[in-house]
Amino acid sequence: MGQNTVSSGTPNRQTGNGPPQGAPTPPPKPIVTPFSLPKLIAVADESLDKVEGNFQAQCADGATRALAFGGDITHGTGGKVPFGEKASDKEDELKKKIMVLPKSFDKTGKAKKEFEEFLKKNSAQTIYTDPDLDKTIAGDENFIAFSDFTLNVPGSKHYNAGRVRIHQVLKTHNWDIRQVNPITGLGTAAFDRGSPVTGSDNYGDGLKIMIDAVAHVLVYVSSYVLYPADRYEITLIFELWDCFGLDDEDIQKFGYKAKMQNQFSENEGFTAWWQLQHQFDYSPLMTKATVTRSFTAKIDP
Amino acid sequence: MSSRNRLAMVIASLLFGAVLAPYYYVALGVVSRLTGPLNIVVPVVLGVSTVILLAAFAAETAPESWLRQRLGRLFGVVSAIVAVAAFVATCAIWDLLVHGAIFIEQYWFYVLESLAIGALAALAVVLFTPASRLERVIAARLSGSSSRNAAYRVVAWSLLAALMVFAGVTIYRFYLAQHPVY
Repeated sequence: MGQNTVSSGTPNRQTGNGPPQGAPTPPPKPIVTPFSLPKLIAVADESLDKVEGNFQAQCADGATRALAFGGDITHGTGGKVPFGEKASDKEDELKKKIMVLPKSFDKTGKAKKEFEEFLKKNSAQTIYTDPDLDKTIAGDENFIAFSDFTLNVPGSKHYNAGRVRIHQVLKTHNWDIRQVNPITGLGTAAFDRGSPVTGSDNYGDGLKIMIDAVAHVLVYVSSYVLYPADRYEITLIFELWDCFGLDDEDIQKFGYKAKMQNQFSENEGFTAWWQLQHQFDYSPLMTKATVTRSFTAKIDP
Repeated sequence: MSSRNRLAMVIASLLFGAVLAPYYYVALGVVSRLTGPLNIVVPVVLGVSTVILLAAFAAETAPESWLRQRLGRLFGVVSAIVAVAAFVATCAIWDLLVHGAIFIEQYWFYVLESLAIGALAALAVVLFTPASRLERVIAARLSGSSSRNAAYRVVAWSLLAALMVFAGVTIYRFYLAQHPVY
């Protein structure tokens, strides 16, 4: 990791460099922990009933990690539409029908770009990034709650006293970030705010249709400054990984098997998406979003 | 208004609200997203059902008087069957249109939301217009001091209380589900 803690130096009383006797003691100088590469500090994974595939992700800390996914990562030909009815047998018609989804669930145009990328028919999972997506996530209420809770500073809006997160682990290690091992077992963020009826929040900003529940969030620390007397400043990089694809359960919830069975153009759109992925070998994209947040937190005794 | 039965006014507003509730989804353009013949069938059936129910609930109309004269004693049975069929059709279309939201993981919240909007709109009309036929029928059962009237009052209050509890639980679950614990 190549990190060394650099102390900017506390006064050395023995050599007479400290303050004169009787003068007020200056506060200890900040301790900066430099990082040549971001350090992984927390991992949130979506729980899976069955792992169907892995994606080898090149991560911000330079490591390659195998991220596990369910049936949404698979693709191929000859798949049978779960429970029956198809949206169409013709690839061109399916490509038209799928495009109702970004139209219905995104007023910003972000989802349209990702669907168009999907329709380029990649043969293997390719990483999809979009700076506009990163910006939307950075301002999203659920993401802010998730990122606050990842740090879990006492007194903050989303503080949960029952959970051990970055702040609590730092405290255990006497605020020395070099000693902290990655925290696992966090629940992932989900973009499900708003109303599907009126298309508000995540039902209109593209996050529901592009991501919904995030499969994996990797949290890195890229900067850490400790002010021993009272506080620390930390910059966290949140790397969100999600598969832009459908599994059989999705088709049951939103496609043919949905209660009103293809009565709405969106039901058809989901079925068309599933068919393109599992019958016409359109590889799902790997959506990657990166958001950086800086925090200042008080050190509690 | 002081002489009107307030419980009857509330129940009448809820029933009128159920008639109006599907129009919340019509206003949001859900009907236009229906595929195939439903795109035409749904608005036609909904419109006809609404006319029948409003006529049945509001006041006697000229066509109704004419039909009553033509059908005689049979009119009561026919009008009841038609009104029930129109109400069932309205509820079925309401259910269909709620599902038009697709990501409908909290179905009952959206049913209650549209009912509340419809009932509030209906209440505004009920408050400032003379008592409708529906309200008078309900009030006739709820007013009075007989044991039968008392039983109707118990049933009416119990249903209202159950609706309130159900709405409270649904709203609580809706907001809890949208704010996961990480």
